[in-house]
Amino acid sequence: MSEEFTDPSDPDSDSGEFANLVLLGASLSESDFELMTAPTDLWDRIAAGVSLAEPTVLTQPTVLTQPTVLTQPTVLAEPTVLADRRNRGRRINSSRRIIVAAAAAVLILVVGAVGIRLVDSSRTSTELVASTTLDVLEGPATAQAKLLRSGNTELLVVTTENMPAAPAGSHYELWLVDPKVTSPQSLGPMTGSTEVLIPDSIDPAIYPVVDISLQQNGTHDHSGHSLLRGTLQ
Amino acid sequence: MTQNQGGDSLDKGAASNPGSGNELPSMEAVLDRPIELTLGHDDPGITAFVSGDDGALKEIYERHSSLVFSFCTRSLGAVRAADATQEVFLAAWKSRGRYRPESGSLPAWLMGIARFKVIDILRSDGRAPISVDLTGSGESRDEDGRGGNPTENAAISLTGERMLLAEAIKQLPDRAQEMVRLKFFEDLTQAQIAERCDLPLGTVKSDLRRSLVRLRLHLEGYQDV
Repeated sequence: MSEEFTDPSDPDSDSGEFANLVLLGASLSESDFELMTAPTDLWDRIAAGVSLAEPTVLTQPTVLTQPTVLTQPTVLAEPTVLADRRNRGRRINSSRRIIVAAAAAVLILVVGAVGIRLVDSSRTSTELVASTTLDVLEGPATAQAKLLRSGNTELLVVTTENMPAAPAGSHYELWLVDPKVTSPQSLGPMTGSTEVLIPDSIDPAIYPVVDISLQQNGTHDHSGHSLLRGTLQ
Repeated sequence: MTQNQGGDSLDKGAASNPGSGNELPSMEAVLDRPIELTLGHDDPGITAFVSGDDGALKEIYERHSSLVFSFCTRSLGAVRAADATQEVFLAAWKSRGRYRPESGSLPAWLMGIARFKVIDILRSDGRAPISVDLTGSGESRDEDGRGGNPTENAAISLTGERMLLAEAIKQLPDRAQEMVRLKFFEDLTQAQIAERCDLPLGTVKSDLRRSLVRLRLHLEGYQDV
């Protein structure tokens, strides 16, 4: 360490004020200054995750439930026209109805298939993968959990009721746990109802148990003090 | 926090610096304002980010993704770095309401999140396997009974702090960078730096002090996340 940072006889000495910083600085290597550029598609993935995490998106109807394509009346209205022409003969009418109905069916299937493909490609659809009502192990709170998926992104939505404030010096934490209870995966602290994006490193198929624990602040491992728990099904 | 103390020290240093009134340009005007910008008090991008403007998130990402991604790459390897970086920024977005500009710099806060993500990922990989009793007995312990791998966690934390410091040094004006590098890497005294840079000793003392204050502010918040 340089003497002017420790030499009390120097009136302008920093007297060790920056001692830790200087030590850290002295430990720097050239590699600490070299940065790499993140992959070009990473921002798109983050933006998709942010979009999924917004509640407004989750409440939007999926394209598959929108009637604009599958109930399009322009083709299905054709039989009405045919009905006005019954004087041309029942056999002809029947044939035309069959042809038009078949064409309509094909058109519906084609348009529907395109719609589904659009849904897939835009990744805007959100599906319910599994859910559970958590068993109450301790305390007054109740909770339900839903696992939602959009594209390759999964979201755990936990709705709680009657959850009191955590005691001083502690907090609630949300976990996904494997059935053998050997390796809980933290999804972070929570104070009540919450929505959490599930990291790619955690597979809910391997960790299907939703667990809410009471944790002492500053701890990172599961406390073993579970309040609510349920298995996603 | 020390930024207020640092700010006071900054003013005192400038007032007592015998060399600050000479004809040589002082970095006071340059360094005073960036300290606030670093902490986000007046940065509209950071304000917008905290208030939930998702356009601001992209700006924050463009500013700091290289730092976070590089740290994740060094800690986890290239294959997992992108996923980890994604998790860091999503966690930051979700927790944006908890960021306090007056408590630390935004990059320090982001890197603090990254540090925990990296440690969590390594732990979930089984590099520090844990065994937890969820039966309600209250027992919770790591395999080694000590709460993970402290040595590895400390190394990861130090790597992040070094990269954060290196990034802050790169943001200093050229002359300040030179002084700081001479101090850090060659362990020169202020008198030696003054001689090497051909500057009055008073100027070196005040400028170097300002730079160190600024670097320290840049690191604040990293350990607090």
